[in-house]
Amino acid sequence: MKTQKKIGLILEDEKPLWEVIKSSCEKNGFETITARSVNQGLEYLKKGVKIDFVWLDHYLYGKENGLDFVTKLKQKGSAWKNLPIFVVSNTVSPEKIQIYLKLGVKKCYTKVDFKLDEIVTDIKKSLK
Amino acid sequence: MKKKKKYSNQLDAAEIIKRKIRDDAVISSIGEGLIVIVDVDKGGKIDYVNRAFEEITGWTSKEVLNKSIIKILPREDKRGNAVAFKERIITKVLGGQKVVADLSEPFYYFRKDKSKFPVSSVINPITLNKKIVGAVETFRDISKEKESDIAKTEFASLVSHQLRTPFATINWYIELLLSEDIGSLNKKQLEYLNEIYQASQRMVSLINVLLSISRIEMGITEFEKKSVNVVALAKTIINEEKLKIKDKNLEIKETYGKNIPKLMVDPKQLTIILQNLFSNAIKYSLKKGKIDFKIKHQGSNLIISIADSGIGIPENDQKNIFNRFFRGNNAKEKEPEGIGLGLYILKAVVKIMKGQVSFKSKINKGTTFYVTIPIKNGLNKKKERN
Repeated sequence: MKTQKKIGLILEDEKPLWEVIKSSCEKNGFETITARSVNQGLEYLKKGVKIDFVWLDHYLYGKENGLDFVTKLKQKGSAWKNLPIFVVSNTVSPEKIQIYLKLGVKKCYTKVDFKLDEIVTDIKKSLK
Repeated sequence: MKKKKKYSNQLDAAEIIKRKIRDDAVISSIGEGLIVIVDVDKGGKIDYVNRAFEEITGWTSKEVLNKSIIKILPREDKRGNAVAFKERIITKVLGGQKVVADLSEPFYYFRKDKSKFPVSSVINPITLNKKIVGAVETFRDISKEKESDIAKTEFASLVSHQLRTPFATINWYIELLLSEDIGSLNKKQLEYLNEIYQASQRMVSLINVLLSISRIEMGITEFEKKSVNVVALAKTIINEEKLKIKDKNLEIKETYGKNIPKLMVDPKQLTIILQNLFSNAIKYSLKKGKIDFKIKHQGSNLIISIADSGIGIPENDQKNIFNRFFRGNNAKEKEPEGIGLGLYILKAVVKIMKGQVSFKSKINKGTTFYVTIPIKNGLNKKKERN
């Protein structure tokens, strides 16, 4: 029986990064769906697209940012409260990282501090 | 004689009145809100407020005199929880505790119109015949400062994102190409891509350094205190440098004192200190040189020292080495690529930790750096005022 591939929602405003993230995820056995804004990301979830984890940038297209997305997903009664979220951003603020972790994201990575494959492999490990 | 005494009494009275008018004018002119509290057993009654108090809170002096401080000026912490009177600093001062204004935890007062504002305050006991009879609090509305802090933090965050994102794109695409997952590359192509990758990494390091400096200078450096094993951290950093140490065939001697206590510090800040010390010692050492690294516990301090047998710092340059972008001529000749920010950041970070950094050096003989960090308050975020 063929194992279903896990699907990651890549919420990233930098379109040039979509391709390379997608490539690394596929190498590690994931499928991906990309979105640029909080609304776009939520639309996929509301449509019932089966998402197994979220790759979340902090600064996104539009007025809302990663924190808004996490807050919405983690609110009481949300159907996606337990969806694993991995924040991958270039924002340095330790305070913001603490807020994300308190809200319940699984891990935070600073893009320039990690190779892409390192992040994806780590996400794969965390999802096991 | 009676007339003389009556005249003298009148003069004394006039002098007293004059002084009272002057004192009232002085207190009235103080820019910060001032409250005098008495009767702590009865929940603390307001005995006097100045004009600034009225302007800040919207209450008039008439409305608040003899009223309970809890009712007129309730206090809330940053989480929005009401602070009970017995937990308020003013109560502790009235109870005999030394004056402290805790500025690390913002708290809020409420105006007459129920709007709240962030406050910075200082409280002093009023003593009469060695007995505490009340307390005086001066406070000010720090809304503008808090807005400015938030703006600075957001600015630094946005700048760091905008500067770093293109490099994340460059680095990740190069990694993908170098992995040859999407096609083989010839030797030259691999070589050139590696050069681009190294240059990109250098730019990222530079951006990180510049961002650290801007955060330190804007006073928005944040700390995450943890119990850190300094010896273990030092060994990790030495391990990270092992390729460069091997390249130059350097001899590293490590000496760790007995019972080195853990430090309650931000591990990232301590890493910056140790990385800078090692990086410089290795950079400016000649081949087959020696580096002597020590950590010892002395009184209430931890002393970290690193001695190299390298190029040394010319005497003329020694007064400038902690300045931004300064590099001595001999350093530039030895290592053309440096930017002259490492020691500046090192000193700034040590200062934040309430520590000290010093050095001694002789040209062509080597340099020894000493970093002293207080153990108990390795990182003290609270500011105390008397």
